[in-house]
Amino acid sequence: MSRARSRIPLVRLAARNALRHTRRSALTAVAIAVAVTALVFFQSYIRGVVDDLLDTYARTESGHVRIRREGYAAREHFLPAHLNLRDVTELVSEVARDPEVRDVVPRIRAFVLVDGAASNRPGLVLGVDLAREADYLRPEGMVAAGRLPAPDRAEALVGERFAEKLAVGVGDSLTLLSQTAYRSLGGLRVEVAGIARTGVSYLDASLVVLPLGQAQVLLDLEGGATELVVFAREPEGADSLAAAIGARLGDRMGPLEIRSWREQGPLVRLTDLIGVMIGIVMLLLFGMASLVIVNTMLMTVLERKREYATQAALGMRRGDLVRQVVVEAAVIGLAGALAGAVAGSAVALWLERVGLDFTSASRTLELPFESIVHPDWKLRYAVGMALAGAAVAGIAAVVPAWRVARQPPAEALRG
Amino acid sequence: MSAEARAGRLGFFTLGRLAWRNLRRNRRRTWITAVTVAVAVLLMQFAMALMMGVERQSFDNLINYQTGHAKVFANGYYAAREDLPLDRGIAAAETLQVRLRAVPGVQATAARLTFQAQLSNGSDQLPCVGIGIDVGGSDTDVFRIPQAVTDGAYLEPDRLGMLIGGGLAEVLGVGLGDWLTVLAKTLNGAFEAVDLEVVGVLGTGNPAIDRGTFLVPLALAQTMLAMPGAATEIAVRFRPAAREGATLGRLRAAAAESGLDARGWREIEFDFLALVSAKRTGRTVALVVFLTVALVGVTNTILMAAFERTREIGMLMALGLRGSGVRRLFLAEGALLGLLGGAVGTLVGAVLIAWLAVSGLDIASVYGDLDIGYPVQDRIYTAFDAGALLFGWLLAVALAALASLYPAARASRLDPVEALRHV
Amino acid sequence: MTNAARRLRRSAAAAGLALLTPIGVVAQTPAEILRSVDANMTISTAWVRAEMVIRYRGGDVRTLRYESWARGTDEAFIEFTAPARDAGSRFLRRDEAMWIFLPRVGKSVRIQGHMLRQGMMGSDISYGDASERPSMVDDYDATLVRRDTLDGRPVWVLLLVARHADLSYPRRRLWVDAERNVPLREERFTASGRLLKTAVLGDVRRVGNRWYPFRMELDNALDTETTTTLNILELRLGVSVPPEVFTLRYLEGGR
Repeated sequence: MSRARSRIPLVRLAARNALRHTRRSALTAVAIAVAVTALVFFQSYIRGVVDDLLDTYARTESGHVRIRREGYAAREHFLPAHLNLRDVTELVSEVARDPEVRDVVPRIRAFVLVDGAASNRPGLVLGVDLAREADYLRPEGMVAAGRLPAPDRAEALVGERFAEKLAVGVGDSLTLLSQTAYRSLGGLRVEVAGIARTGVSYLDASLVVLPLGQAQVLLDLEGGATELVVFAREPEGADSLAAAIGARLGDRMGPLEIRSWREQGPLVRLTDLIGVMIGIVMLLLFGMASLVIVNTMLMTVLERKREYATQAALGMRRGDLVRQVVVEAAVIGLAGALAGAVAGSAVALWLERVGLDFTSASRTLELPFESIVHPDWKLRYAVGMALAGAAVAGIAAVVPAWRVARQPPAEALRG
Repeated sequence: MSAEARAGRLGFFTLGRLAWRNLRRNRRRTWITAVTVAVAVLLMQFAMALMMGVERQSFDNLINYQTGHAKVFANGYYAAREDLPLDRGIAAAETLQVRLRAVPGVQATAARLTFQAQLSNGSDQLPCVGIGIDVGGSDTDVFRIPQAVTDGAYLEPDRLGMLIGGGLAEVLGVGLGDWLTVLAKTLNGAFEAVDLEVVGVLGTGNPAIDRGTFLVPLALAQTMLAMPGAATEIAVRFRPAAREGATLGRLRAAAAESGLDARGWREIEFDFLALVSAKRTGRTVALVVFLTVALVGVTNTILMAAFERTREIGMLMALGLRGSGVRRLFLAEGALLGLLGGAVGTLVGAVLIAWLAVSGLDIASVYGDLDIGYPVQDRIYTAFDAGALLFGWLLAVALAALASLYPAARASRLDPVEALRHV
Repeated sequence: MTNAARRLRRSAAAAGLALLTPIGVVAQTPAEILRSVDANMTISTAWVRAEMVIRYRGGDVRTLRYESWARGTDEAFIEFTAPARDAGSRFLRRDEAMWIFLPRVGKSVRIQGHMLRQGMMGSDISYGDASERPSMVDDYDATLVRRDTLDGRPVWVLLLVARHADLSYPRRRLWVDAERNVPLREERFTASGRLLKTAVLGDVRRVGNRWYPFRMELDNALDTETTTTLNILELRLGVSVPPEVFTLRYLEGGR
């Protein structure tokens, strides 16, 4: 029997077929929807966790761009106070002129010896502008007892375990000794205004947070800092921002090292690492989701063996039959996937606002973890997973469709 | 009870046989569902084993490189342990170890001498911690340091050399074959220094070790610090089969008899453990998502199968099977599917997990200075836990039965006449 | 022997020798050489005005000025006078204990633990070293290694081995000016012979009836970031030191 190359309106036919067997199509679609929901949500969740980690790192360590004196990074381990930035106010205003810069904060990091409990114990000083750091370092969130130091008073926030070792509490005094910016000996007597709990083990055992001005006094670093932390409006553009700042400053402010967060070693490795671990889990989840979709399709197609056999007996060509089945599968798949994408997005967006509370999960060895995770929904997750779901459904239908199409109609009708 | 009613009920074994026969009758359906369950179980077992493996690896890491299962100190050392007080050491380490090894559950002991030191590369001096380990003796019975050597080789008993943490080596700018001067103060307070060649670089994944310690032969440390035959701690490894709690208790008693202080690794690494239990919360999310998808998938499959069997159900009902019987039949089928599919999935999973537990999954060298809170290395291993595997299997049975609930309920409410007419 | 007793003995010996030992007498045994060295280097009381020059590997140079009171080898008080940012920093040493006072801190701090390793004001003189001033003749056994010349001066090269285990530097090598009994060079070692510190002394001048080096250059063999030179600008021996100088109250500024 010859037939002109028919232009069967496959999609319309598929849609009509699907609607005709509402219950079956609905079941199929629901299964696919659930799978896609899970994928979209999980991706958003993981993204949220990773973003959170990156965000914490950027806020507390690297910023998006970090400016230091040239040569500092090579000796970073020693926190050399004599390699510092002078005239920080001017530097800050210069850098802030770039429209891509959201904010610039000066920080001082230095080693100190803290006198207490019959010993001089090594500690880590972090001198910050407490008011400006409300959005970045978030010192307020660290306070476990007492309060933040007042900006112009010789007060300090001391790490919890450190305070224990030094046998001091809120209201007690501490003497800090350190090497100054002139490599001489400097000291400062401070009152413990508050006790800090960062959640990071080694910090809690050694951290002393001082108002920037006091740290400057301690290190004999008037108007200076050991680093300038820059936050960009668009974190993705950090590299070009670093270059722009470098160009803008030129040599006027002395020899500087201006590094974007990607260039600051550990961060890249951290994200790669997390990516790998998460990739494995995502793969497993995707496998599970695909499995569900595949077996649903399988059942759907095989269930309708007789129907297809009839069509074949009526003259429908094998190729067309397969195509019809696949298209129908894809249509249902797409419908289900879209529904799933929408549902998954809804959940992700809702949780993004509300946040998943992992308060007990807020300790790491190196970075302070925000205890509330906000899934980070992106449109491309929804679109991507929807397309993937539909594709898997379509592909999953091919093999069984072929098998059905190959069977002689008489047999199929009988079985 | 009426004859009808009695006829409509099914005994347990009859139920089982009927369910089994039903399943066998429609191979295709059974296979699809069983495979779904099997693969779902496989994926979950694998995911669980992987996550457990990472966690266990970090514990093992601690035990293998840092703490052993327990450490025995002289009285007063533990309280001052951050100062590494040499004057609170254990004098006759060897004789003590004999006594400790006799404690049931103890597999091996090793003496270590931990001391404050400065390492100099000729231009810079860096304060760090040195550990004298019993090379050629029992250190490898308790610890697994050779596994952590990323570059170079492990120490040799007669050769002067040191193993240095990777992070420390980086800061000092040294590598294999370079020489470093170790400066320390003896027990009495005199300076002593030794030049040692870097024979190996350590990468344990634990920043406490990698960034701040170096290892030397115990004899060398004892000589250098003028503490012959002494140690600051004796590390203990328990037998694999021994129960940790009980063994620790016995060890404590034995130590106390000799005037010593025994501490378990969980106590020593209390901080780290808090971290681990916290991370489990995050894992729960992944597990919940997994389970949801699996459950829906299986339910869906069984439901579709149920719809397909409408006529069959009608016939069963016409033959006298009542609603409750139909329901129980479906549940039985579901449970059986879970049993079979779960068995296959668990079995395949067990093989895969066992293989990876030994050879590990290579995640290349993405580790550097920063750690994410788990001291693990380039390969992650799954945890082969028979208990977990069994639990997974039983969970599959339960879930499959659960997945059958709705279809079973629906099927039981069918009108036999309508059903029979179904095509 | 207690520290006090030791102190007394040393002062007596020093005083005695200072009176009895004329210039140019050749001491015979290594122990006697050491005794003469001790005699020259040990002061009963002194007031010093000196300069501390610290040179850094990168080329930077820091110059500080200080004044100090000393009694024997057990008590010392140092106050830095220049530059302005370092002025007012004070140190007190009594026996083996050392305290620091910084005007900004306003309270004295005992130097112990980790701090002892640090160099004073960033120099090569560690607080630990500064707080330990052994008597060569009492604490070390001396042997004569050879005779030699150093910078045109005839010297005895002595090897010193510690008599008890608690001295920081178990071995020292001393180049002693044979005519003047003044150390010109000192090297400090571990028991195993590893060089830790080097001191080169020069600008030897006559003060009263002794010779005294007015320049001392110190270097830490393991940390080559800095080299420190002490130049004595003014030295007054045998001054009467007000007794309250070596007290914490004085350290903290109660004058």
